Amino acid sequence: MSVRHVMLALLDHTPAYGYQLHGLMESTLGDPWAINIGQIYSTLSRLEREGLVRRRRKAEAETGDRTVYEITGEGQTELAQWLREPLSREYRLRDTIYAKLVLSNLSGSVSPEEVLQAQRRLLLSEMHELTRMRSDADPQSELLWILLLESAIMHLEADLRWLDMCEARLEDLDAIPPPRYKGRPRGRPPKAESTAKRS
Amino acid sequence: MVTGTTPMIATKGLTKIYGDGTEVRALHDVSLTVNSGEFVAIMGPSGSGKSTLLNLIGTLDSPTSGVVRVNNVDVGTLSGNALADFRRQTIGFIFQLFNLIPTLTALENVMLPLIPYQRGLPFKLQERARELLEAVGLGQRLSHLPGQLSGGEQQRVAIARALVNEPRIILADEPTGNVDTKAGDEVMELLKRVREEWDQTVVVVTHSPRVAAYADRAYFLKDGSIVDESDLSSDKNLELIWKGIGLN
Repeated sequence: MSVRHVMLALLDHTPAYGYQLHGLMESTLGDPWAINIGQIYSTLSRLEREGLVRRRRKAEAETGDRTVYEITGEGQTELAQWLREPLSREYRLRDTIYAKLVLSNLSGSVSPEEVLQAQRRLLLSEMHELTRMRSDADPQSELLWILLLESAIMHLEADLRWLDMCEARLEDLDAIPPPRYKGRPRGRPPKAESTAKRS
Repeated sequence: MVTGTTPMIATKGLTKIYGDGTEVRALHDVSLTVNSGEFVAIMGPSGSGKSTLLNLIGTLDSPTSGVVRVNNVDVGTLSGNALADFRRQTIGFIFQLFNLIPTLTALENVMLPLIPYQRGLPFKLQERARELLEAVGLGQRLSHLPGQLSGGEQQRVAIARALVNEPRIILADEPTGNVDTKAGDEVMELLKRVREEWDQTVVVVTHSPRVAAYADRAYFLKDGSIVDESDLSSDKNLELIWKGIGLN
């Protein structure tokens, strides 16, 4: 998560001083994004150096003058660019559970069934916890939070369905021939072949 | 929620074989317990025996071998009227296809299980049915026919009907299988509330993780046998769970 873009978005909403931003960040995005106040100030000065935010003195009746930060035109451009950029999730074809499934099928010390079951127990417990949090949330005032919980729940649902699918096909795994190390040709490959490949 | 430790449901060595010539073994040696006040899910793919198991627990079917104890009664010792009375007094059923009578109103459908016994009841049946429909959010739909209600509303009528005899146990077979996700969530929230307010024991059969996630505990069936069991509400793995969902 990009803290600088979160802060740009909050400043686009309203000019604010550091401590205010800290509170706004938590009330807007919730606990999972909580960061310490020091990080807020260090990010602000970096943004200021880059010309994305600027300082302004603001007179306040009760507390006297304060320095507030506001977003610049360049900051708004940077924010819009970030918001429009689609996001790719990282793990897809590099899923560790997949690796465990393949390796358990190979090693024989722990069965693939056991790997799938252990994973399913954890994911279902996570879903139980998220479902409880969703039930506790107020459908009107906490709608955004509920949407986030739903996103997590739906990803878990997909993961659990994949585990079910693997479990249903465990018997077919036995039919897959075990991998064999094919060996590599030693020494330098023949010259003719290597030039042919490169062209 | 604190749940009692007395088993409300206990099965031992349950086996169910269908057919004479070509036998189909639907359940094999299933032993499980559900404590009083617990919310348990029975999960598994289609054909794994989940519905058969629920029907045996609900005394709608009898096992080829093995014992079912419900509320401390060995239901295998009951038959005929005694079994019907026991079932009526102890268990409320919720089905995937609602099983409402299409020509009766919502109110009449809720009253239906107790209409033959109306005289001996310590309460006014119609009053009770009306209260239950109000409790499930259908106070404005009392005289609607099932066909005039949405799927989610029909299932809520069915839940009210399951509650009319104040059963100790609610058995639900894929209760959200015929409604959309939002209505399904409402059905499950309602079941959860019912269980908390009336202190009931709930067993839900489902293939859906979304539904099972409401339960405290889950059994996993495969090819007629229990292959795994999981305590969903245990604090044991809380740190790992929080890490998994992005809270620290």
